[in-house]
Amino acid sequence: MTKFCRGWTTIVITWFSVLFATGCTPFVRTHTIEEIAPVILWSVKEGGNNHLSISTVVPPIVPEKKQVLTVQADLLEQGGKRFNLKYDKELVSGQVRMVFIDEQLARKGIGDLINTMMTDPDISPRLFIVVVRGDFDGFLRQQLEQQKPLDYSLYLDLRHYAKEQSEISMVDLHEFTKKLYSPFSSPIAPMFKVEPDTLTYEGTAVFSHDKLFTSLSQTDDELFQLVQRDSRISTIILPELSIALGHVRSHVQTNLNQNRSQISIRVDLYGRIQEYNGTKNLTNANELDSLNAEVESYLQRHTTQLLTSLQQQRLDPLQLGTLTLHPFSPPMTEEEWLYRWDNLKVYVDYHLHLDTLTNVTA
Amino acid sequence: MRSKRDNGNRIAAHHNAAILSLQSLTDILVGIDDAEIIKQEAFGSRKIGLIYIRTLVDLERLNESIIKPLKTRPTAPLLQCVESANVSQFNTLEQAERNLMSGCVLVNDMIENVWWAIKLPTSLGRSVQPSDTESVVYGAKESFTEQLDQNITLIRRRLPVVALKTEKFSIGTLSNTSIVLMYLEGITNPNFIKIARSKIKRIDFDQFLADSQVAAFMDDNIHSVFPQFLSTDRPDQCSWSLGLGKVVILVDGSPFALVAPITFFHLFQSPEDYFLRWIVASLFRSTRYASFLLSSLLVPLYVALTTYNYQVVPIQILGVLLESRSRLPFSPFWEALLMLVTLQILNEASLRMPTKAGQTLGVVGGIVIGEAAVTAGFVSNVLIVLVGISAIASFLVPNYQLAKSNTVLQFLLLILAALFGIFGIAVGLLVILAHLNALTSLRQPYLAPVAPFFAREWSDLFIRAPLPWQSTRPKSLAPLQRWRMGGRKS
Repeated sequence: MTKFCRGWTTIVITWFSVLFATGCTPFVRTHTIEEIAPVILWSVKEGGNNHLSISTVVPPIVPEKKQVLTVQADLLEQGGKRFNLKYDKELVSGQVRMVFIDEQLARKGIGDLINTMMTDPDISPRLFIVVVRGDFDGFLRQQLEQQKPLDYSLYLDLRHYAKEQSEISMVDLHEFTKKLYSPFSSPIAPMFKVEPDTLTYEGTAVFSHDKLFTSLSQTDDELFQLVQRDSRISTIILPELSIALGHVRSHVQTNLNQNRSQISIRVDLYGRIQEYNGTKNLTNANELDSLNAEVESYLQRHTTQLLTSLQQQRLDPLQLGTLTLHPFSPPMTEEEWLYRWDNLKVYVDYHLHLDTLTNVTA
Repeated sequence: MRSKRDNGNRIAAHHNAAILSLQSLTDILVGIDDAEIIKQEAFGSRKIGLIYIRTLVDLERLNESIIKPLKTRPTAPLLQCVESANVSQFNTLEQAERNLMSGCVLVNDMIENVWWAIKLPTSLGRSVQPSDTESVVYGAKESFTEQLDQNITLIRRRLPVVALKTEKFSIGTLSNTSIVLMYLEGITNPNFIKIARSKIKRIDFDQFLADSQVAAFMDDNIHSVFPQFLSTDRPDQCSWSLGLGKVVILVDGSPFALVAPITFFHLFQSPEDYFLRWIVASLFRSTRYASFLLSSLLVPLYVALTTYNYQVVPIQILGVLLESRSRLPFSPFWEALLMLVTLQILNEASLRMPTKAGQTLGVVGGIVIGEAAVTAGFVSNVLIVLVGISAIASFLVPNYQLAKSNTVLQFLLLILAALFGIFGIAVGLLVILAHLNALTSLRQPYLAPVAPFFAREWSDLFIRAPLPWQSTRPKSLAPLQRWRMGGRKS
């Protein structure tokens, strides 16, 4: 065999090795871009009689006159197929980036929905999961009259908060599924409320397995943001103390003791006093220390209350159960952890490092 | 059965049979108008015949060096009259013919029947000019010319050492082209010299007009689109390569030299890399690699994404693509093919047209055709931008032959992208990588120092590290002297 033939034989063998070793098929389905409508948003809610009502916005992405398409289906994939019968272009799901799930459906359980999306190779796991309270489809129909690229601007908003990793408990399909199947954490998702012409962030929806169990709102949500990981929040308002803390950064250290009977959470909070409307004189060091102590005490009290309430509901959105994991020892079962979590003593310790923006005298 | 070599040399063999005489030479010069035969001229007591080709000989030097001395010194022996150092005696018709055609004046002492060849070639040729193909802003401006000796001089000036050897060969049964193999004795691996020498000796063809034709006979893989010799017209590039332990081949009549062995990565190195500050040079070199990838992949990726893999397009760009392609009559593949073929037509046209007309062509091609094609709805404005970027990026590759090869790769990847999407591009790239890995230059691996791996040489690969750090010659070249430092005399 000549050298030339040997070279080509090598190439052909390499080619087929690549084809089959990776399990890929070269016979891919054509999706010529002008012939498809890659939707980026799904809204899913209960449709009655155990049906799902699935809605989307078409044409997607492009700033043209749009409409909301809604279909009733037993399965999510069936809904996708029925969309194609109602629209002149093929609606494809490879670019779906947001799924808005109605609160009522979330309370009944979204495990099947999550599994379907997770196992669909077309759907990216970088898909934002959002729980909505109210008529989201109605909101879409109303808003499409006013802003054409509504689907795209919604995506940009969610992506912004996902990048910031604070302020809003953004979660994608991958993170949600990971928590759903972890024995040591309760899945969370952001919860929005539909008001006649606005979509307002309500707080964090906390799931017990695949069912929406409770939601954390306002101060509880802010405290949850602070302690769930090292985070940065632009402003924390504490109305009871008439104070607003700005540019807040938290550094969280959690520790479970040896006999797994108590958990301590130390939060170092860095920031500055953005606004104060109370009676203390902030230029006086003693009064400033006193205010610091009040804020620390307030945060400790409320965080402890929040954690206690989560313990009572057997929810662990902070994934504190992962502290029980050690190399060379078998992990606890979910039941075992939740029992321990319910009975753990929780100590929260805040350390404030605040700048005052004014000269302080002793 | 007559062999190929016998067949090729039949013209020379025919003359070998004849006996060298003034008459036999006169016979073979029949029909050559510029041949001058001066018979039986009496220069004093001597009877001398002079034969030369008027267009190959410096006539002024002929008068000064031969005719005038012969007339003014009628009794002196012939050799004492000739004022030239380059005199040789010959006695066969074949030698006579070769000398005649290389610019010699043949002198026949008709009394003693002795033949002399006095080399007086005309110095016709262009002067040393700046390089067009490898121009640099900061650095030497000299480039090779078509004259072999002048090119050797340009290299010798940069390497004034006796270790710089020049071995001369003659190839081409018709063109009788001189080629010179240059190397640094004591540095260059003797194996490379041996391989180059044997490859040159095996060359069998009638005519050689350019260095690339010589390279075509010396390539290890003649079917590859990748050049296995670095073709350069810069003497500084040649001397640098010689210093590293490579060989250089100069071809008479070609303003380019061949450098070998080379690797794929050498094709991205510009002489300017070694003149600029190392950080700046490294940035530029990295940009060249990126540009090569851009120019080969940008348009195929567009076709793959718009035909199959819309999922991986960022949403922001997806919106732009959807809008730009919404009313086009062609599929992405035909649209891209149309644009690339148009670009090739414009490229070829601009090379063949006079410089001033070329500017007009640029305006017509770039602005009028591009803009009109978008307005008419033949192509999308996104593709126009991508083809533009791809075309400009292809000019960043300093090696002209690789830049041309890149076009072939682009078309190959385009077809694979149209058939199999991103998977096709990945397979195409893998095949190209496998081919590069199998390729050799003077039987040395083409992907060194990546495969085989030579860690030290990475300092002059994707970046160009400071020169003091490059204290050794590339290990992949197996030089006889590894260290480049330590030669300072006190």
